Amino acid sequence: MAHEATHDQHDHHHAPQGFFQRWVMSTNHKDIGTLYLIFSLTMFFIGGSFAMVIRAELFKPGLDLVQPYFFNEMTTMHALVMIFGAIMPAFVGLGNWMIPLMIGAPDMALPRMNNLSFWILPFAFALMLSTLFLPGGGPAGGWTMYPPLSLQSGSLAYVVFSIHLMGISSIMGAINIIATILNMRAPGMDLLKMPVFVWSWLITAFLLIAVMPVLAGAVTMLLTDKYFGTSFFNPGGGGDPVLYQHVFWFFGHPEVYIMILPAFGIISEIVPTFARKPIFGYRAMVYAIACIAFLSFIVWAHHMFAVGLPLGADIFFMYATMLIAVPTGVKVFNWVATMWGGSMTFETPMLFAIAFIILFTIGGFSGLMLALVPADFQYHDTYFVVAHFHYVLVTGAAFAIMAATYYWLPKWTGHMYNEFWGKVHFWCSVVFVNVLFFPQHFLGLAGMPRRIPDYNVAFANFNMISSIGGFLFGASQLIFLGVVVHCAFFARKKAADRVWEGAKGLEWTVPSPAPHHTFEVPPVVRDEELAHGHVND
Amino acid sequence: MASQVAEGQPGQAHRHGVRRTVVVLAIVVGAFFLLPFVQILLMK
Repeated sequence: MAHEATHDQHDHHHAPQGFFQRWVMSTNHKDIGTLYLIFSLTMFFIGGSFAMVIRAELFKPGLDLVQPYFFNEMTTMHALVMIFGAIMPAFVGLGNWMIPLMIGAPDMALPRMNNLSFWILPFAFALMLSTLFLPGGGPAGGWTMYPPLSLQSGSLAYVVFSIHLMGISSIMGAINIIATILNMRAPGMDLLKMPVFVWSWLITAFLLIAVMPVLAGAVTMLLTDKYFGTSFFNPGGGGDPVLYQHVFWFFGHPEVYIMILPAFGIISEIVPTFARKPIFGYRAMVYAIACIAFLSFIVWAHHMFAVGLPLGADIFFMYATMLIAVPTGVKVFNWVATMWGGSMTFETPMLFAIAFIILFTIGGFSGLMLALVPADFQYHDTYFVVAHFHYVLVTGAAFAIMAATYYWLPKWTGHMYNEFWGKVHFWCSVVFVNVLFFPQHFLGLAGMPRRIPDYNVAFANFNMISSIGGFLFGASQLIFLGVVVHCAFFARKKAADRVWEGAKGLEWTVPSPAPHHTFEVPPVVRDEELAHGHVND
Repeated sequence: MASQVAEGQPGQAHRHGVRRTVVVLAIVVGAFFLLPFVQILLMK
């Protein structure tokens, strides 16, 4: 790649002067990416503090610390904050930072809209979190907001408005990413030469475009049912509450994939780097992501087998759900095949990537168990479901975000993070996350329902183990915070341009830290420099 | 780039493509927003 020539032509590498101009008015993809990541980390700790309240209350049987309504507020807010405030903005931040660098674009296609997408979020979450301090409290009916329970909440209008704002932010972000990838690629960067992370975000952005408006429609109907006398979900007026569940999960299931497809992309970048081999089956990886995205639209009713669907629907949704294991299996196989025979080293990003592959697969297998209609009647609304989706979202999505942070942090800051403390963070996280979530499988199989502040003494031991794991996992994340802050402000060891020996791709051709402006002159893309090798051979 | 122009603003050749992409996606967003309403009205 003609990167050296490119960088000589940068006429200004410096960020705008002044805090307000740089961070509030920014149209720079790197600065906005940083803002997203800081916001996400903040929300990660706020949502985590809610989880600590939940695990503290469940440490032993009995109502010990908080009132049941507050407990329900915590479970609801924990989910909303982690999904919409932590995981999704983290991926948008990583996409903002890395997509233009990976495709050789000078910035996002719509830089001003990029600024607006981000700055909507703090207001949306301030509004939503403020409901905790209102008379009557915040939302407490679960993040799914099923009517009629959610209609009893006095804060519904606040939550619906904040969800509208988050949705607008996500949709604008998705439009921006699609417009960037389709229109701003460097010459020679054909679609099937793009890094898998870029592909994963392109497909995720289409999912966002398709399902966030559906969520907006569903919560708008909740709002009109409560305040404007409609009866979309009110049987007294001819409506049907189960219809809400169909509409919600038409959004909700693709939403799950919105939170995991970019993680697949991240792992597909990290594994080849530390295995020092091109990714195995690049095209199969891309097609598998597209296949998973398609299937995500036809499996929504597996979340609601227990409502009593027609037998034909039960069977269709069961088999469609099980079908997802095929492209997911292709991905897991290809990651392992990439590592096979490679000259592997185990720096922190690779450790998190390997943990992702193993632990996400455990979450996938428990998902297969939940896909079985007769079994789901037993597991539905138990802690087995809680264990399943935390394996997918914590050891899946959150671990991938941590892996990506360690992987690209030297490129962002220009300094190497402390590898020793990175590994301490990894080993603490991987041990304690299993102490936290694995016993929840047993609790669920034994019949403990989710979303309850008190429980039968028969569940006491596993709950205590789970809570201890929770506290230690939460504390371990302070190490992560320490490593990131140290790397950003205090680290001395300079990072090379190509931070990792086996790293390939355009993002490693720019200096570390990445200059404020990059690729103002498009780079020349050569196949041998791509992470996935000669894809057209 | 001049300070009035947003950083990374695509060149003239790209603008048309970006505009077309945004218009198509905006129509898709609108269609999917209306989808649940249409679905429910059809089921009434």
